[in-house]
Amino acid sequence: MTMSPSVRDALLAAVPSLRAFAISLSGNVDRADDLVQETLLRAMANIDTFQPGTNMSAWLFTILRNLFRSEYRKRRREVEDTDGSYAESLKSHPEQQSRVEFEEFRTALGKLPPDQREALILVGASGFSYEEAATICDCAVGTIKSRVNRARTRLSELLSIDTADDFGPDHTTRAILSAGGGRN
Amino acid sequence: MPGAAKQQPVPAGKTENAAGPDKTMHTEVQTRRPRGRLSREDQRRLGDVLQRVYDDVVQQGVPDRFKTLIDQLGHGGAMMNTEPNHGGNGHPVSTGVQARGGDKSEDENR
Repeated sequence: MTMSPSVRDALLAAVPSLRAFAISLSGNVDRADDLVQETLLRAMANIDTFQPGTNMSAWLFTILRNLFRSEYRKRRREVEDTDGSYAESLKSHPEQQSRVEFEEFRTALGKLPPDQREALILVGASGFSYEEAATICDCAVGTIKSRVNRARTRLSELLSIDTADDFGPDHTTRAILSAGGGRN
Repeated sequence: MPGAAKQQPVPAGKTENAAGPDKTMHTEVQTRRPRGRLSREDQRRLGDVLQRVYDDVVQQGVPDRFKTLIDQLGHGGAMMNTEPNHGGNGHPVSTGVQARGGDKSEDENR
């Protein structure tokens, strides 16, 4: 099977965001890169089923997501066990504070139920529409919306953000979230 | 008359794009769940951090191992022999509901 240059370019272009998605899902860079690799192999093995003109990126995300889910079912305990390799990958970041901030955020993200985590990432970071995210996760649009909402609420609880302004404030964690906005 | 077109105080399209969906959401939040949800400001902050954490990885670009892999795939090699963690039964797998063969293919291999 030979690959057309356009397919090759599309695969290459998708790799950075596939990795970001995989790392967000698994919390582990090595496992994430294995997931991406397997996704690319799957994609090529099944390239006939891809319909030209449709969203290649969404198709690849679907494959990766399904691979992760089946792996998650098999190794549930292991997946919960995140190690330091994610922090390792962020070493290059110039701002130490961002690294701490990222680490804290990632830890909170890792505590979300997988359903909510993937929905939040797809919509909130990968830039997919609710409809696209619903296709990727094979569920209804309304389900995605409610998962995203619950994910946000849960994240804010984990990071101790107030859910109402007149509630007891926690300025430390609030500062974490506003870091980078020049307000801490 | 050139003045007529300029009578609208704010460009209509712009108003809709900027305030439309948010306004609806905000109203809904306020009427239905005054405390259980995040303020828009907190949602925005949360979203910003999420985006930055994500983009930090995106900006790492394409690691060499994937460039190599995609080049290999492009030449028709390495289809099955580099595939990790797989029984290698060679069946095309549906990418829709479940990309992996799952339990079934595992049973077949035993």
